[in-house]
Amino acid sequence: MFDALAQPFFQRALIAGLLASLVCGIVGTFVVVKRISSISGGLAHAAFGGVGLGYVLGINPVVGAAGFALLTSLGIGYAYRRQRQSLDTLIVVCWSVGMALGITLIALTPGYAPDLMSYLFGSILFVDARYLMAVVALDVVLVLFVVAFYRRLQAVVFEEEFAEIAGIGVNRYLLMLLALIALSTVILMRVVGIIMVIALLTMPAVVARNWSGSLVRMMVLATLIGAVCTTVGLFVAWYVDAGYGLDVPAGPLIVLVTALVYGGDWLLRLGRS
Amino acid sequence: MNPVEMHKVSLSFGDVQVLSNIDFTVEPGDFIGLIGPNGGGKTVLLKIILGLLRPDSGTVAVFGRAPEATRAKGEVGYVPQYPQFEPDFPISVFEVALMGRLHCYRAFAGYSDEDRDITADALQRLGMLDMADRQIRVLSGGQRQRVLIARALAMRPRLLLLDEPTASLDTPMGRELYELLAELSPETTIILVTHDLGILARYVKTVGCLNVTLHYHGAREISREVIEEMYGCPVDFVVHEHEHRILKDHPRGPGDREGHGEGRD
Repeated sequence: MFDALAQPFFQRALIAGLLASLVCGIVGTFVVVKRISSISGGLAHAAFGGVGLGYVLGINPVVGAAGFALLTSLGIGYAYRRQRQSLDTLIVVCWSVGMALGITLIALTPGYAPDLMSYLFGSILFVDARYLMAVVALDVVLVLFVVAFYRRLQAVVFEEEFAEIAGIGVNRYLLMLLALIALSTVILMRVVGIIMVIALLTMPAVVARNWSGSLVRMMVLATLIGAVCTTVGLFVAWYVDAGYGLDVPAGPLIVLVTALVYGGDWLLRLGRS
Repeated sequence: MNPVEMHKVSLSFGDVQVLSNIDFTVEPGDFIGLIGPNGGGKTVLLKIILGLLRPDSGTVAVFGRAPEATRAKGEVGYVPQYPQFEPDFPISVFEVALMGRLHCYRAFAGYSDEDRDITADALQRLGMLDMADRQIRVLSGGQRQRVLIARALAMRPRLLLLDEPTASLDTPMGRELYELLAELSPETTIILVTHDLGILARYVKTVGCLNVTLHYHGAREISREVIEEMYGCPVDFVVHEHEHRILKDHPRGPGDREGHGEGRD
Protein backbone atom coordinates (compact mmCIF):
# COMPACT_ATOMS: atom_id res chain seq x y z
CA MET A 1 0.00 0.00 0.00
CA PHE A 2 2.79 2.39 0.91
CA ASP A 3 4.73 1.72 -2.27
CA ALA A 4 1.65 2.81 -4.20
CA LEU A 5 1.32 5.94 -2.09
CA ALA A 6 4.96 6.81 -2.68
CA GLN A 7 4.35 7.24 -6.41
CA PRO A 8 3.56 10.83 -7.41
CA PHE A 9 1.28 9.71 -10.28
CA PHE A 10 -0.69 7.52 -7.87
CA GLN A 11 -1.00 10.37 -5.38
CA ARG A 12 -2.34 12.60 -8.12
CA ALA A 13 -4.81 9.93 -9.19
CA LEU A 14 -5.97 9.48 -5.62
CA ILE A 15 -6.48 13.22 -5.15
CA ALA A 16 -8.25 13.45 -8.52
CA GLY A 17 -10.58 10.64 -7.47
CA LEU A 18 -11.43 12.31 -4.16
CA LEU A 19 -12.02 15.69 -5.79
CA ALA A 20 -14.15 14.11 -8.52
CA SER A 21 -16.24 12.35 -5.85
CA LEU A 22 -17.65 15.70 -4.79
CA VAL A 23 -18.80 16.21 -8.39
CA CYS A 24 -20.46 12.76 -8.31
CA GLY A 25 -22.07 13.54 -4.97
CA ILE A 26 -23.55 16.93 -5.81
CA VAL A 27 -24.40 16.55 -9.48
CA GLY A 28 -25.33 12.87 -9.11
CA THR A 29 -27.88 13.77 -6.42
CA PHE A 30 -29.65 16.15 -8.80
CA VAL A 31 -29.45 13.63 -11.66
CA VAL A 32 -31.01 10.90 -9.53
CA VAL A 33 -33.80 12.80 -7.78
CA LYS A 34 -34.76 14.61 -10.99
CA ARG A 35 -34.61 11.33 -12.95
CA ILE A 36 -32.50 12.77 -15.73
CA SER A 37 -29.85 10.07 -15.99
CA SER A 38 -30.62 9.58 -19.68
CA ILE A 39 -30.14 13.32 -20.28
CA SER A 40 -26.81 13.12 -18.49
CA GLY A 41 -25.75 10.08 -20.50
CA GLY A 42 -26.69 11.91 -23.69
CA LEU A 43 -24.62 14.94 -22.67
CA ALA A 44 -21.59 12.78 -21.88
CA HIS A 45 -21.69 10.99 -25.20
CA ALA A 46 -22.36 14.18 -27.14
CA ALA A 47 -19.17 15.52 -25.59
CA PHE A 48 -17.24 12.97 -27.64
CA GLY A 49 -18.16 14.91 -30.77
CA GLY A 50 -16.29 17.82 -29.19
CA VAL A 51 -13.28 15.59 -28.53
CA GLY A 52 -13.18 14.78 -32.27
CA LEU A 53 -13.56 18.44 -33.16
CA GLY A 54 -10.66 19.25 -30.85
CA TYR A 55 -8.44 16.77 -32.71
CA VAL A 56 -9.39 18.14 -36.14
CA LEU A 57 -8.92 21.77 -35.16
CA GLY A 58 -5.78 21.05 -33.22
CA ILE A 59 -7.16 22.47 -29.96
CA ASN A 60 -7.36 20.70 -26.61
CA PRO A 61 -9.99 17.96 -27.00
CA VAL A 62 -11.20 18.62 -23.44
CA VAL A 63 -12.07 22.20 -24.40
CA GLY A 64 -13.91 20.88 -27.46
CA ALA A 65 -15.78 18.38 -25.29
CA ALA A 66 -16.80 21.05 -22.79
CA GLY A 67 -18.06 23.35 -25.54
CA PHE A 68 -19.99 20.58 -27.23
CA ALA A 69 -21.56 19.31 -24.02
CA LEU A 70 -22.60 22.85 -23.01
CA LEU A 71 -24.24 23.51 -26.39
CA THR A 72 -26.04 20.19 -26.21
CA SER A 73 -27.27 20.96 -22.71
CA LEU A 74 -28.87 24.16 -23.99
CA GLY A 75 -30.68 22.26 -26.76
CA ILE A 76 -31.82 19.49 -24.45
CA GLY A 77 -32.84 22.03 -21.82
CA TYR A 78 -35.04 23.79 -24.34
CA ALA A 79 -36.67 20.52 -25.41
CA TYR A 80 -37.13 19.50 -21.79
CA ARG A 81 -39.18 22.60 -21.02
CA ARG A 82 -40.97 23.11 -24.31
CA GLN A 83 -41.40 19.81 -26.08
CA ARG A 84 -41.36 17.02 -23.56
CA GLN A 85 -42.73 14.52 -26.11
CA SER A 86 -39.68 14.74 -28.37
CA LEU A 87 -37.13 14.81 -25.55
CA ASP A 88 -36.52 11.07 -25.47
CA THR A 89 -35.65 10.92 -29.18
CA LEU A 90 -33.50 14.02 -28.96
CA ILE A 91 -31.42 12.48 -26.17
CA VAL A 92 -30.76 9.34 -28.21
CA VAL A 93 -29.87 11.46 -31.25
CA CYS A 94 -27.36 13.51 -29.22
CA TRP A 95 -26.01 10.33 -27.66
CA SER A 96 -25.30 8.46 -30.92
CA VAL A 97 -24.54 11.39 -33.22
CA GLY A 98 -22.01 12.71 -30.69
CA MET A 99 -20.17 9.39 -30.77
CA ALA A 100 -20.42 9.08 -34.57
CA LEU A 101 -19.16 12.62 -35.06
CA GLY A 102 -16.27 12.09 -32.65
CA ILE A 103 -15.10 8.89 -34.30
CA THR A 104 -15.48 10.33 -37.83
CA LEU A 105 -13.59 13.52 -37.01
CA ILE A 106 -10.78 11.59 -35.32
CA ALA A 107 -10.50 9.30 -38.35
CA LEU A 108 -10.24 12.36 -40.58
CA THR A 109 -7.44 13.79 -38.47
CA PRO A 110 -4.08 12.97 -40.03
CA GLY A 111 -1.75 10.99 -37.83
CA TYR A 112 -2.32 9.03 -34.71
CA ALA A 113 -4.80 9.82 -31.91
CA PRO A 114 -2.84 8.73 -28.86
CA ASP A 115 -5.37 9.70 -26.17
CA LEU A 116 -8.47 8.34 -27.85
CA MET A 117 -8.88 5.41 -25.49
CA SER A 118 -8.34 7.62 -22.48
CA TYR A 119 -11.38 9.73 -23.41
CA LEU A 120 -13.55 6.66 -23.84
CA PHE A 121 -12.38 4.65 -20.83
CA GLY A 122 -10.68 7.20 -18.60
CA SER A 123 -7.06 7.72 -17.63
CA ILE A 124 -7.08 8.76 -14.01
CA LEU A 125 -3.57 7.38 -13.48
CA PHE A 126 -2.20 9.94 -15.93
CA VAL A 127 -3.82 13.17 -14.76
CA ASP A 128 -1.67 16.27 -14.45
CA ALA A 129 -1.75 19.24 -12.08
CA ARG A 130 -3.79 21.27 -14.55
CA TYR A 131 -6.54 18.68 -14.42
CA LEU A 132 -6.55 18.79 -10.62
CA MET A 133 -6.99 22.57 -10.80
CA ALA A 134 -9.95 22.11 -13.14
CA VAL A 135 -11.64 19.70 -10.75
CA VAL A 136 -11.05 22.01 -7.80
CA ALA A 137 -12.59 24.87 -9.78
CA LEU A 138 -15.67 22.81 -10.63
CA ASP A 139 -15.97 21.66 -6.99
CA VAL A 140 -15.91 25.26 -5.81
CA VAL A 141 -18.55 26.30 -8.36
CA LEU A 142 -20.78 23.37 -7.40
CA VAL A 143 -20.54 24.02 -3.66
CA LEU A 144 -21.28 27.73 -4.14
CA PHE A 145 -24.18 26.87 -6.43
CA VAL A 146 -25.74 24.60 -3.82
CA VAL A 147 -25.05 26.87 -0.83
CA ALA A 148 -26.46 29.92 -2.57
CA PHE A 149 -29.58 28.38 -4.05
CA TYR A 150 -30.23 25.26 -1.96
CA ARG A 151 -33.95 25.81 -1.27
CA ARG A 152 -34.65 27.01 -4.79
CA LEU A 153 -32.86 24.06 -6.34
CA GLN A 154 -34.67 21.74 -3.94
CA ALA A 155 -38.01 23.21 -5.01
CA VAL A 156 -37.19 23.03 -8.72
CA VAL A 157 -36.12 19.39 -8.63
CA PHE A 158 -38.96 18.48 -6.24
CA GLU A 159 -41.85 19.93 -8.21
CA GLU A 160 -41.31 22.31 -11.12
CA GLU A 161 -44.90 23.50 -11.18
CA PHE A 162 -44.93 24.73 -7.62
CA ALA A 163 -41.47 26.26 -7.97
CA GLU A 164 -42.82 28.23 -10.91
CA ILE A 165 -45.82 29.42 -8.91
CA ALA A 166 -43.55 30.45 -6.04
CA GLY A 167 -41.81 32.83 -8.43
CA ILE A 168 -38.62 30.84 -9.08
CA GLY A 169 -37.28 31.15 -12.62
CA VAL A 170 -37.42 27.41 -13.20
CA ASN A 171 -35.92 27.68 -16.70
CA ARG A 172 -32.88 29.50 -15.38
CA TYR A 173 -32.16 26.95 -12.66
CA LEU A 174 -32.72 23.95 -14.91
CA LEU A 175 -30.38 25.36 -17.56
CA MET A 176 -27.72 26.08 -14.94
CA LEU A 177 -28.14 22.55 -13.64
CA LEU A 178 -27.83 21.00 -17.12
CA ALA A 179 -24.78 23.13 -17.88
CA LEU A 180 -23.14 21.94 -14.66
CA ILE A 181 -24.00 18.34 -15.53
CA ALA A 182 -22.36 18.89 -18.94
CA LEU A 183 -19.17 20.26 -17.34
CA SER A 184 -19.20 17.45 -14.78
CA THR A 185 -19.36 14.76 -17.44
CA VAL A 186 -16.31 16.33 -19.11
CA ILE A 187 -14.42 16.35 -15.81
CA LEU A 188 -15.45 12.79 -14.92
CA MET A 189 -14.46 11.70 -18.44
CA ARG A 190 -10.85 11.69 -17.22
CA VAL A 191 -11.72 9.40 -14.32
CA VAL A 192 -13.86 6.68 -15.89
CA GLY A 193 -14.26 7.72 -19.53
CA ILE A 194 -17.26 8.97 -21.50
CA ILE A 195 -18.86 5.57 -21.74
CA MET A 196 -18.96 5.04 -17.98
CA VAL A 197 -19.50 8.58 -16.68
CA ILE A 198 -23.17 7.95 -16.10
CA ALA A 199 -22.31 5.13 -13.67
CA LEU A 200 -20.56 7.59 -11.34
CA LEU A 201 -23.38 10.09 -11.67
CA THR A 202 -26.07 7.60 -10.69
CA MET A 203 -24.99 4.66 -8.55
CA PRO A 204 -23.45 6.50 -5.57
CA ALA A 205 -26.41 8.89 -5.43
CA VAL A 206 -28.99 6.13 -5.71
CA VAL A 207 -27.39 4.27 -2.78
CA ALA A 208 -27.17 7.55 -0.85
CA ARG A 209 -30.85 8.32 -1.44
CA ASN A 210 -31.84 5.13 0.32
CA TRP A 211 -30.09 6.28 3.49
CA SER A 212 -30.73 10.03 3.43
CA GLY A 213 -33.55 12.24 4.57
CA SER A 214 -32.58 15.39 2.70
CA LEU A 215 -30.83 16.47 -0.47
CA VAL A 216 -27.81 17.81 1.37
CA ARG A 217 -27.31 14.61 3.35
CA MET A 218 -27.71 12.66 0.12
CA MET A 219 -24.97 14.80 -1.46
CA VAL A 220 -22.59 14.22 1.43
CA LEU A 221 -23.21 10.47 1.51
CA ALA A 222 -22.94 10.10 -2.27
CA THR A 223 -19.63 12.00 -2.14
CA LEU A 224 -18.31 9.63 0.54
CA ILE A 225 -19.45 6.57 -1.43
CA GLY A 226 -17.81 7.97 -4.57
CA ALA A 227 -14.60 8.66 -2.63
CA VAL A 228 -14.46 5.12 -1.25
CA CYS A 229 -15.19 3.55 -4.64
CA THR A 230 -12.60 5.58 -6.59
CA THR A 231 -9.98 4.93 -3.92
CA VAL A 232 -10.65 1.20 -3.76
CA GLY A 233 -10.75 0.99 -7.57
CA LEU A 234 -7.36 2.71 -7.82
CA PHE A 235 -5.75 0.37 -5.29
CA VAL A 236 -7.20 -2.67 -7.04
CA ALA A 237 -5.72 -1.41 -10.32
CA TRP A 238 -2.34 -0.94 -8.59
CA TYR A 239 -2.27 -4.41 -7.07
CA VAL A 240 -3.48 -6.17 -10.20
CA ASP A 241 -0.60 -4.48 -11.98
CA ALA A 242 2.04 -4.93 -9.28
CA GLY A 243 1.03 -8.45 -8.32
CA TYR A 244 0.07 -10.03 -11.61
CA GLY A 245 1.55 -7.69 -14.19
CA LEU A 246 -1.92 -7.11 -15.64
CA ASP A 247 -2.56 -3.63 -16.96
CA VAL A 248 -6.27 -3.13 -16.24
CA PRO A 249 -7.44 0.49 -16.57
CA ALA A 250 -8.56 2.01 -13.29
CA GLY A 251 -11.78 3.52 -14.70
CA PRO A 252 -13.65 0.25 -15.30
CA LEU A 253 -12.44 -1.07 -11.93
CA ILE A 254 -13.85 2.02 -10.19
CA VAL A 255 -17.19 1.44 -11.93
CA LEU A 256 -17.18 -2.24 -10.91
CA VAL A 257 -16.43 -1.38 -7.28
CA THR A 258 -19.30 1.15 -7.37
CA ALA A 259 -21.56 -1.54 -8.81
CA LEU A 260 -20.61 -3.83 -5.89
CA VAL A 261 -21.64 -1.13 -3.41
CA TYR A 262 -24.86 -0.62 -5.36
CA GLY A 263 -25.60 -4.36 -5.30
CA GLY A 264 -24.63 -4.63 -1.64
CA ASP A 265 -27.02 -1.84 -0.73
CA TRP A 266 -29.78 -3.59 -2.64
CA LEU A 267 -29.17 -6.88 -0.78
CA LEU A 268 -28.98 -5.08 2.55
CA ARG A 269 -32.35 -3.41 2.03
CA LEU A 270 -33.82 -6.64 0.72
CA GLY A 271 -32.71 -8.34 3.94
CA ARG A 272 -34.26 -5.63 6.09
CA SER A 273 -37.68 -5.58 4.51
CA MET B 1 -58.48 45.47 -6.98
CA ASN B 2 -60.25 42.29 -8.02
CA PRO B 3 -58.28 39.08 -7.47
CA VAL B 4 -59.14 37.81 -10.95
CA GLU B 5 -60.40 39.59 -14.04
CA MET B 6 -60.72 37.49 -17.17
CA HIS B 7 -62.06 38.85 -20.37
CA LYS B 8 -62.94 36.79 -23.46
CA VAL B 9 -60.38 34.11 -22.62
CA SER B 10 -60.16 31.18 -25.05
CA LEU B 11 -57.72 28.29 -25.24
CA SER B 12 -57.48 25.19 -27.42
CA PHE B 13 -55.10 22.26 -27.30
CA GLY B 14 -54.76 21.34 -30.97
CA ASP B 15 -58.28 20.91 -32.31
CA VAL B 16 -59.88 20.67 -28.90
CA GLN B 17 -61.43 23.84 -27.58
CA VAL B 18 -60.84 23.75 -23.82
CA LEU B 19 -62.07 27.19 -22.85
CA SER B 20 -64.26 29.44 -24.93
CA ASN B 21 -64.84 33.12 -24.39
CA ILE B 22 -64.58 33.07 -20.62
CA ASP B 23 -65.51 36.23 -18.76
CA PHE B 24 -64.77 35.75 -15.09
CA THR B 25 -64.53 38.34 -12.37
CA VAL B 26 -63.66 37.25 -8.86
CA GLU B 27 -64.39 39.78 -6.17
CA PRO B 28 -62.27 40.13 -3.04
CA GLY B 29 -63.38 37.86 -0.23
CA ASP B 30 -65.37 35.55 -2.43
CA PHE B 31 -65.42 31.80 -1.86
CA ILE B 32 -66.26 30.24 -5.22
CA GLY B 33 -67.16 26.62 -5.77
CA LEU B 34 -66.35 25.67 -9.34
CA ILE B 35 -68.02 22.57 -10.69
CA GLY B 36 -68.16 20.96 -14.10
CA PRO B 37 -67.58 17.65 -15.85
CA ASN B 38 -64.15 16.10 -16.34
CA GLY B 39 -62.36 17.72 -19.25
CA GLY B 40 -64.49 20.82 -18.78
CA GLY B 41 -61.41 22.98 -18.31
CA LYS B 42 -61.48 23.57 -14.54
CA THR B 43 -57.82 22.77 -13.98
CA VAL B 44 -56.87 24.70 -17.12
CA LEU B 45 -58.73 27.75 -15.82
CA LEU B 46 -56.75 27.58 -12.55
CA LYS B 47 -53.49 27.19 -14.46
CA ILE B 48 -54.28 30.29 -16.50
CA ILE B 49 -54.84 32.26 -13.30
CA LEU B 50 -51.49 30.92 -12.05
CA GLY B 51 -49.79 31.91 -15.29
CA LEU B 52 -48.73 28.32 -15.97
CA LEU B 53 -50.76 28.34 -19.19
CA ARG B 54 -51.31 31.24 -21.54
CA PRO B 55 -54.65 31.69 -23.27
CA ASP B 56 -54.78 31.87 -27.06
CA SER B 57 -56.81 35.04 -26.80
CA GLY B 58 -58.35 37.28 -24.19
CA THR B 59 -56.90 39.08 -21.20
CA VAL B 60 -56.16 37.91 -17.68
CA ALA B 61 -55.33 40.10 -14.71
CA VAL B 62 -54.58 38.81 -11.22
CA PHE B 63 -54.70 41.60 -8.64
CA GLY B 64 -54.51 43.97 -11.58
CA ARG B 65 -51.31 42.53 -13.03
CA ALA B 66 -50.25 39.80 -15.45
CA PRO B 67 -50.45 36.40 -13.70
CA GLU B 68 -46.66 35.91 -13.91
CA ALA B 69 -46.08 39.21 -12.11
CA THR B 70 -47.91 38.12 -8.96
CA ARG B 71 -45.78 35.03 -8.42
CA ALA B 72 -42.73 36.56 -6.85
CA LYS B 73 -44.97 38.01 -4.12
CA GLY B 74 -46.51 34.68 -3.20
CA GLU B 75 -50.00 36.15 -3.52
CA VAL B 76 -51.60 33.15 -5.19
CA GLY B 77 -51.57 29.78 -3.45
CA TYR B 78 -52.33 26.53 -5.25
CA VAL B 79 -53.13 22.99 -4.20
CA PRO B 80 -52.85 20.66 -7.21
CA GLN B 81 -55.21 17.78 -7.76
CA TYR B 82 -52.36 15.28 -7.96
CA PRO B 83 -48.92 15.67 -6.40
CA GLN B 84 -46.34 16.04 -9.17
CA PHE B 85 -43.30 14.95 -7.19
CA GLU B 86 -41.46 11.63 -7.05
CA PRO B 87 -42.65 9.72 -3.98
CA ASP B 88 -39.12 8.60 -3.03
CA PHE B 89 -37.70 12.14 -2.91
CA PRO B 90 -35.61 12.58 0.27
CA ILE B 91 -37.38 15.45 2.00
CA SER B 92 -39.21 16.01 5.27
CA VAL B 93 -42.79 17.16 5.72
CA PHE B 94 -41.56 20.45 7.16
CA GLU B 95 -39.25 21.12 4.22
CA VAL B 96 -42.10 20.61 1.77
CA ALA B 97 -44.41 22.96 3.65
CA LEU B 98 -41.57 25.47 3.98
CA MET B 99 -41.58 25.80 0.18
CA GLY B 100 -44.66 27.93 0.70
CA ARG B 101 -42.26 30.63 1.94
CA LEU B 102 -40.02 30.56 -1.15
CA HIS B 103 -41.02 34.08 -2.11
CA CYS B 104 -39.32 35.26 1.10
CA TYR B 105 -36.21 33.10 0.66
CA ARG B 106 -32.98 34.96 0.00
CA ALA B 107 -29.90 33.43 -1.59
CA PHE B 108 -27.25 32.55 1.03
CA ALA B 109 -29.39 34.01 3.87
CA GLY B 110 -32.09 31.34 3.70
CA TYR B 111 -35.36 31.49 5.61
CA SER B 112 -36.19 33.65 8.60
CA ASP B 113 -37.60 32.39 11.91
CA GLU B 114 -40.87 34.01 10.93
CA ASP B 115 -41.00 31.83 7.80
CA ARG B 116 -40.53 28.77 9.98
CA ASP B 117 -43.21 29.88 12.44
CA ILE B 118 -45.71 30.51 9.66
CA THR B 119 -44.93 27.08 8.21
CA ALA B 120 -45.35 25.37 11.59
CA ASP B 121 -48.66 27.16 12.04
CA ALA B 122 -49.88 25.97 8.63
CA LEU B 123 -48.91 22.37 9.45
CA GLN B 124 -50.65 22.69 12.80
CA ARG B 125 -53.87 23.75 11.08
CA LEU B 126 -53.77 20.62 8.94
CA GLY B 127 -52.94 18.39 11.90
CA MET B 128 -49.53 17.55 10.45
CA LEU B 129 -47.18 19.34 12.85
CA ASP B 130 -46.52 16.13 14.78
CA MET B 131 -45.22 14.61 11.57
CA ALA B 132 -43.06 17.59 10.59
CA ASP B 133 -39.85 15.56 10.71
CA ARG B 134 -41.23 12.54 8.88
CA GLN B 135 -40.08 11.76 5.37
CA ILE B 136 -42.66 12.50 2.70
CA ARG B 137 -42.13 8.97 1.31
CA VAL B 138 -43.61 7.29 4.39
CA LEU B 139 -46.87 9.27 4.30
CA SER B 140 -50.21 8.06 3.02
CA GLY B 141 -51.85 9.75 0.05
CA GLY B 142 -54.19 11.75 2.28
CA GLN B 143 -51.35 12.90 4.53
CA ARG B 144 -49.37 14.03 1.49
CA GLN B 145 -52.35 16.02 0.33
CA ARG B 146 -52.57 17.70 3.72
CA VAL B 147 -48.90 18.68 3.47
CA LEU B 148 -49.54 20.26 0.07
CA ILE B 149 -52.49 22.19 1.50
CA ALA B 150 -50.28 23.32 4.39
CA ARG B 151 -47.67 24.46 1.87
CA ALA B 152 -50.28 26.56 0.07
CA LEU B 153 -51.46 28.07 3.39
CA ALA B 154 -47.85 28.81 4.39
CA MET B 155 -47.72 31.21 1.46
CA ARG B 156 -50.35 33.30 3.30
CA PRO B 157 -51.88 33.91 -0.11
CA ARG B 158 -54.48 36.56 -0.88
CA LEU B 159 -55.99 34.19 -3.43
CA LEU B 160 -56.10 30.45 -2.85
CA LEU B 161 -56.84 27.98 -5.63
CA LEU B 162 -57.66 24.37 -4.78
CA ASP B 163 -58.15 21.66 -7.38
CA GLU B 164 -60.30 18.88 -5.92
CA PRO B 165 -58.38 18.93 -2.65
CA THR B 166 -60.61 16.37 -0.95
CA ALA B 167 -60.13 13.66 -3.60
CA SER B 168 -57.71 11.69 -1.42
CA LEU B 169 -59.03 12.78 1.98
CA ASP B 170 -61.43 10.76 4.08
CA THR B 171 -64.81 12.30 4.90
CA PRO B 172 -64.00 13.77 8.35
CA MET B 173 -60.74 15.25 7.04
CA GLY B 174 -62.57 16.61 4.01
CA ARG B 175 -65.10 18.31 6.26
CA GLU B 176 -62.30 19.73 8.44
CA LEU B 177 -60.70 21.16 5.34
CA TYR B 178 -63.91 22.91 4.37
CA GLU B 179 -64.24 24.30 7.90
CA LEU B 180 -60.67 25.55 7.62
CA LEU B 181 -61.36 27.21 4.28
CA ALA B 182 -64.44 28.84 5.75
CA GLU B 183 -62.22 30.26 8.52
CA LEU B 184 -59.75 31.64 5.99
CA SER B 185 -62.59 33.31 4.13
CA PRO B 186 -63.14 36.21 3.57
CA GLU B 187 -59.57 37.46 4.24
CA THR B 188 -58.44 34.97 1.64
CA THR B 189 -60.31 34.80 -1.63
CA ILE B 190 -60.86 31.15 -2.51
CA ILE B 191 -61.62 29.28 -5.72
CA LEU B 192 -62.38 25.63 -5.06
CA VAL B 193 -62.75 23.09 -7.85
CA THR B 194 -64.84 20.18 -6.65
CA HIS B 195 -67.32 17.48 -7.53
CA ASP B 196 -68.69 17.39 -4.05
CA LEU B 197 -71.87 19.40 -4.60
CA GLY B 198 -73.50 18.53 -1.32
CA ILE B 199 -70.77 19.67 0.98
CA LEU B 200 -69.93 22.52 -1.32
CA ALA B 201 -73.31 24.13 -0.80
CA ARG B 202 -72.72 24.42 2.90
CA TYR B 203 -69.58 26.53 2.71
CA VAL B 204 -69.15 28.44 -0.54
CA LYS B 205 -70.50 31.89 -1.24
CA THR B 206 -70.95 31.58 -4.98
CA VAL B 207 -71.04 28.76 -7.49
CA GLY B 208 -69.78 28.57 -11.05
CA CYS B 209 -70.18 25.80 -13.55
CA LEU B 210 -67.56 25.28 -16.25
CA ASN B 211 -67.69 23.13 -19.34
CA VAL B 212 -65.69 24.97 -22.01
CA THR B 213 -67.99 27.93 -21.35
CA LEU B 214 -68.52 29.34 -17.90
CA HIS B 215 -71.77 29.96 -16.08
CA TYR B 216 -70.96 32.30 -13.28
CA HIS B 217 -73.02 35.20 -12.09
CA GLY B 218 -71.59 35.80 -8.65
CA ALA B 219 -74.57 34.04 -7.13
CA ARG B 220 -74.92 31.02 -4.92
CA GLU B 221 -77.75 29.44 -6.85
CA ILE B 222 -77.43 27.81 -10.16
CA SER B 223 -80.34 26.19 -11.89
CA ARG B 224 -80.58 22.47 -12.44
CA GLU B 225 -81.08 23.18 -16.15
CA VAL B 226 -77.75 24.97 -16.36
CA ILE B 227 -75.93 22.17 -14.59
CA GLU B 228 -77.57 19.47 -16.66
CA GLU B 229 -76.80 21.40 -19.79
CA MET B 230 -73.17 21.72 -18.73
CA TYR B 231 -72.79 18.09 -17.82
CA GLY B 232 -74.72 17.08 -20.89
CA CYS B 233 -76.89 14.60 -19.03
CA PRO B 234 -79.21 14.42 -16.07
CA VAL B 235 -77.30 14.85 -12.83
CA ASP B 236 -77.99 13.12 -9.54
CA PHE B 237 -77.71 15.53 -6.70
CA VAL B 238 -77.07 14.56 -3.20
CA VAL B 239 -80.37 14.88 -1.45
CA HIS B 240 -79.24 16.88 1.45
CA GLU B 241 -80.60 19.42 3.80
CA HIS B 242 -78.45 22.03 2.13
CA GLU B 243 -79.36 21.17 -1.38
CA HIS B 244 -81.74 24.04 -1.77
CA ARG B 245 -78.87 26.40 -1.26
CA ILE B 246 -77.23 25.38 -4.48
CA LEU B 247 -80.26 24.46 -6.58
CA LYS B 248 -82.57 27.32 -7.23
CA ASP B 249 -85.49 25.17 -8.34
CA HIS B 250 -85.02 21.61 -7.37
CA PRO B 251 -88.18 19.59 -7.75
CA ARG B 252 -89.64 17.82 -4.77
CA GLY B 253 -91.70 14.73 -5.05
CA PRO B 254 -91.60 11.26 -6.50
CA GLY B 255 -89.19 12.31 -9.23
CA ASP B 256 -86.50 13.05 -6.67
CA ARG B 257 -83.65 10.61 -6.64
CA GLU B 258 -82.19 9.74 -3.33
CA GLY B 259 -78.84 8.50 -2.16
CA HIS B 260 -75.30 9.63 -2.43
CA GLY B 261 -74.14 10.68 -5.80
CA GLU B 262 -72.45 13.58 -7.37
CA GLY B 263 -72.06 15.25 -10.69
CA ARG B 264 -71.94 12.52 -13.26
CA ASP B 265 -69.64 12.96 -16.21
